[in-house]
Order: sequence, then structure tokens, then C-alpha cells
Amino acid sequence: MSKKISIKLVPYEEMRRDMDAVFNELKKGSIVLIDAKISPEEESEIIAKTMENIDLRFKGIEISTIDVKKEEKKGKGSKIFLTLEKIKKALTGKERGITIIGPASLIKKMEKTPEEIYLYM
Amino acid sequence: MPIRRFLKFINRLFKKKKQIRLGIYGPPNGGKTTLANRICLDWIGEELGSVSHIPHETRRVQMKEKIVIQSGDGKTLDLTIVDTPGIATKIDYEDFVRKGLSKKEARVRAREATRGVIEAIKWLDNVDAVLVVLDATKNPVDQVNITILGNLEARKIPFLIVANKIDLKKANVTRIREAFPNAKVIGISAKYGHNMDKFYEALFDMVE
Repeated sequence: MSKKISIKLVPYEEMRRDMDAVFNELKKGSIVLIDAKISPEEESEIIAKTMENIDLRFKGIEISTIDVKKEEKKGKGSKIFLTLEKIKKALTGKERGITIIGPASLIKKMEKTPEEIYLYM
Repeated sequence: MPIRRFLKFINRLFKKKKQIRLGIYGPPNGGKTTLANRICLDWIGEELGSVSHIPHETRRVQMKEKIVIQSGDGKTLDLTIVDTPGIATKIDYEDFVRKGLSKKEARVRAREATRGVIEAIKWLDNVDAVLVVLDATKNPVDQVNITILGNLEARKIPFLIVANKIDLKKANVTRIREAFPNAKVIGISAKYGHNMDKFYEALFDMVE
């Protein structure tokens, strides 16, 4: 029998507003996809929140982030592009990229290259 | 010149020791407490905490004050060592059962370990410099390592990556250097004291 996996897209702003909602999804067994690369401080916040949520059923998370594509950073007009990205980040706190968080009971390991994330179930 | 040398001697005599709160961070079982013990043994002749092959042996922040270390050219550092619990994104009590603990012990250990991770993260705001201890036999491109290093960079806390367990055959310090090319990496064996002279040199370089 095939296994159904739920992937929940959570906008970055929603994650910032209501972290508990993200953990409700993870505890239900969903993989959460955030439409931004979260910062290291936000990652440590998520780790601390994970620790608060760990119990006999919820064993923790696997998390990975992926950056803006490297080619775009090197391309023509890259300075303008990066400056615009910095302004956008300063205004919204949102950095281009994605963040994927999965419950450890479902995802055994995550591995990443600069452009890809591998999930081992 | 003898006068210059004399003035230097006087200067050194009255110069205040540099006081540093040195955090020891990393994932579980990298050898953080073994390194803390090694530093304490080298300079004050006593250990700081217990070590174990079962992960999350250190579940509270452990501190040792007044570890005065000296460089070859006479500089001194007055260290407070802050040995932190290993940072992890998952803690499964069943892993501890598989390592031989009873279910009850394993659950207590897991609960304490979760609190320890939170405590370690909070302590990032209270350290002056950090040693990030990684197991040199393991793949360093791990999100926990990236998160720790990213937090140190964002907070502008100087750090040194310590590639521990170089006494083991599978150790690969080059892989760690390649993973974090902008960081200073030093390979040691905290257990056997290999390469500790180079480590202390790098420690002085980091805090200067």
C-alpha cells in the first residue's frame, strides 16, 4: 500500500506570526515548506521551540535551508540584484530561498547541496 | 636593547590578564566535555565534567572559572570555560534505551537533554568567544553545525572550529576545512592531547 505524505506550504510571515501553527502541522506528521530562507537566529528559535515540544510521540525535526541560486549572485547586474535583495530583507526580514522542516519520525536525515535538498524517509 | 626589554617585562608584570568567557559548543558526542577536561587538566590539574559514549551526557551548562593559560611569548588569558550541552534538532528516548539505559532512565535523560539544548542556545548571548567542537570522523555539512556557525557570525562572536578525534582512522580534517572555508579549523585529539600546542596558539590568535 502506498504511503501518503502531506506537505504544508507556510508563508514566512505566517511562520513569524504563529510558530505554534507550524508545530501543530509537524506534530500531525506534515512536512512544512516555508517560502524563505530563515536566518540562523530563527533556526535556533525553531530548535528551542522543538525542544519544548518533544514528548513520547514527537521526537523532533529535521530542518534544512537553501539559499538564492549562486549563478544569480554571479550574473550581470549582480550588485544591483544583491542590493535589492538586501533592501527587501531589511524591510520584510525575508531572505530569498526555501526552508524545509519535517518531523524526525518521518524524515530520518536531510542532506543538501547548494541547490538541492535530499530527504531520507 | 636591555632597557626596552626591561620596560616590556614591567609592562607584562602589571598588564591585566585578558578575561574571556569561552563557550564550548557543538552537536552531541563531538567531545566538548573531553576538550573542556583536557584544557582544565593542562592548566589547573583537575577535570570539569564526566564523559560518556551515550549522547547527551552533559545536560546542564558546566562552568569552570580562573583557568589561566599562557602562551609561549608570555601572554596570558584568564578563561571561564562554559561547557554546553550538545545542540540537536531531535531527541528520541528510544535511542538511549538502545544504548543500554532503562526506559525510565532514558525518558528522564531525554527530558533533561531537551532543557539542556534550550539552555545552550540561551548561553550564546553570554559568551565572548566560542570553540565549535566537531567530530572529525563525521560529515560536517549538517544543519546543526550550520546553525551554530551562522548564529556566531550573526552575533559577531569570534570562534574556532575544533576538529576533534584525529586519533581515529576515519578522521578527515580537510573535509571540515572545505565545508567551512572562511573559518579557522584546528585538528586535535582531546582524549589523547594530540596537537594541543597548535590548539592553544589558535586560541590566542582567536581572542586577540
